Amino acid sequence: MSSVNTVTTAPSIEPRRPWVYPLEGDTWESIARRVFPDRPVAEAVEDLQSWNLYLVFRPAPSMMTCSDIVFTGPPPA
Amino acid sequence: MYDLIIRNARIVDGSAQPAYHGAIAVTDGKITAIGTRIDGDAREVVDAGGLALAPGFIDSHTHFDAQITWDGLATPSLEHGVTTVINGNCSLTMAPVRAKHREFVGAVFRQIEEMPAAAFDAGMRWNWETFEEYLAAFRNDLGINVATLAGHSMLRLWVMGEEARERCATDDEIAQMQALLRECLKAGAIGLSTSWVDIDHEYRPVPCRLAAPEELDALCAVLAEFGAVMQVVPEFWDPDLLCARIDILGDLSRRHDITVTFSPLFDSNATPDLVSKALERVRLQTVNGARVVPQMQTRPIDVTFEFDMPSSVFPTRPTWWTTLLKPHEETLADLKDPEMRKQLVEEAYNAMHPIAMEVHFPAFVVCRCFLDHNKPLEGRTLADIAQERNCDPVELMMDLAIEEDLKTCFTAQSVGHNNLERIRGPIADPLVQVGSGDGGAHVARFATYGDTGYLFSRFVRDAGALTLEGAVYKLTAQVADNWGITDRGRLRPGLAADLVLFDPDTIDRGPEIPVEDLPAEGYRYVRRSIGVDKVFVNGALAYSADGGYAEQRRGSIISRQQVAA
Repeated sequence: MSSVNTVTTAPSIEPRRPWVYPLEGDTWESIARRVFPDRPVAEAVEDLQSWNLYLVFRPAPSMMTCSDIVFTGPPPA
Repeated sequence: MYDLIIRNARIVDGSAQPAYHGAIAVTDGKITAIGTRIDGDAREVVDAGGLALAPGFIDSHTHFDAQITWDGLATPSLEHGVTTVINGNCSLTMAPVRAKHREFVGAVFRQIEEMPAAAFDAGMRWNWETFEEYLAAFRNDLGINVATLAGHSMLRLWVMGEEARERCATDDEIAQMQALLRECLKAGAIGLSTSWVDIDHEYRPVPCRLAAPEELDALCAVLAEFGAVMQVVPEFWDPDLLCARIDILGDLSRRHDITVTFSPLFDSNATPDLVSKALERVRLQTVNGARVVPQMQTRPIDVTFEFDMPSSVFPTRPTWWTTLLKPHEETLADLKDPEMRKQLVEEAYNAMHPIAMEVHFPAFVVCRCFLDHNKPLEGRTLADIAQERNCDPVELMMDLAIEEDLKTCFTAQSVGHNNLERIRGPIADPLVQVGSGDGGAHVARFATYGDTGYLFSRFVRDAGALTLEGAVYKLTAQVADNWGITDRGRLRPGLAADLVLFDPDTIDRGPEIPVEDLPAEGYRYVRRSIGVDKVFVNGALAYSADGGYAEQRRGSIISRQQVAA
């Protein structure tokens, strides 16, 4: 990952819905471990996938990329 | 002695201030006087007959990148009053492109912008690699002004080669991209374009989507050196994703003090609250010091298609998609197979709508037939014809396609962005820029021209959402200000004499028609203008309703250096 310019993943204005960028090579499991370190991985993956159906159902050969948004919380009520 | 005086005009000067009756004088391509009365002589005097005289319209979202190399007029944009087109949107440009990447770039452009392959291949000379060489290839043939963005995907491809499609960039590669962008901006690029959604001809993300956020941030730092703009395509169909993207753009704008613009801001029945949520987010970013400009198109979406390839009305219908992807004879065989026909009919009626569209097969219009006895069907809906013939509309569509060897064209009309009540407020919002027209793209699918005339006919005259002056501002000064184009966009002494003379009571877009004017006898869909009397580019007549396109070519390249001067 580059260090040319450091970019924080959290926007400076409170987001409507929490999210993170994937890192290169990330899987659902690695994101789950990083974002929810205290939760069982399988359960966290299930939540992540349910909040990001657009990535789950993205047809091959497209894949999750480093510019994608991965929501880490449910839609606002 | 002036070169040109236009008298007896209703001056709508681009500022959104009330129009007034007056005249304008031009010398050496620039406006030299404007007011209620101008004394003195000119080599040419035009009596406007009370028509509206406005700054030439600026179309901020076009894809004439290929066409402009063989058609320096960007037809038919000019006849709609457009005097400046901004090319290179959505990360796709024709430069900088190394010779070894031409085939890939051409394939991506043809896929995303739906340019017929034969026309593209016949028209493109590809006698350039760098951005400077690309601009030089058509600079002297321009009848319209052209500003061009540098495409993020092209920067990646130049620096990283094929790996641009596979991975994030290293620090060294990002530094090389920064240097390359700097070179493009010095050569005349007006900014950078990128995309978070586009896919290539192999259905893989376009190269810029493999960029880590640090890469985009580094490129924005270069834009800041030039005061240049960034354009991006976000996930325009999903409110949460779009709002998150607006936040990202807000941060980039604040951090680097640049203007960022996204396109399209798109309304659909699938997400009727999307536009209001997005605008609320843009407003929040704006009051916090960011410059995030949404671009909204004026026209509803129409999609015209034949059965020789899948189009954007089919992606949620896998049987249709698969069938239309097959070789010609296999597609025909599928359409004739009774079991397959049952599946296709079932799927036509029972499937999710594609992203941001509402697709109803019986409402499809027969757009173009090739057999004489079918010509009377043109312009009628499948439902109408099927009722007359007492058959199913989808079966009818397949039978027509089979009979005409898959050449019949059908149109899914007004499948999105068609709710006037929801759009009329946002399109008049001061934070929203009119754009996203896509001129030069999707040429074999639908006409992307005449959105300017449609703004007046639909949103000024029909809906009363905008005043005449407000609509002109939306197409001129607002775009110029957002894009940092300081030498045009208003009727002011010293500015370029890009002028459009039109009838506010009749200006409109004509019907969508097929024309065979692409290289290699390719056809495309266009709309002719209505109510546009004369168009001047840099002081010279470029188009008139009476005489058509003029021989003289006075268009220019609009660059950051030029606008910063």
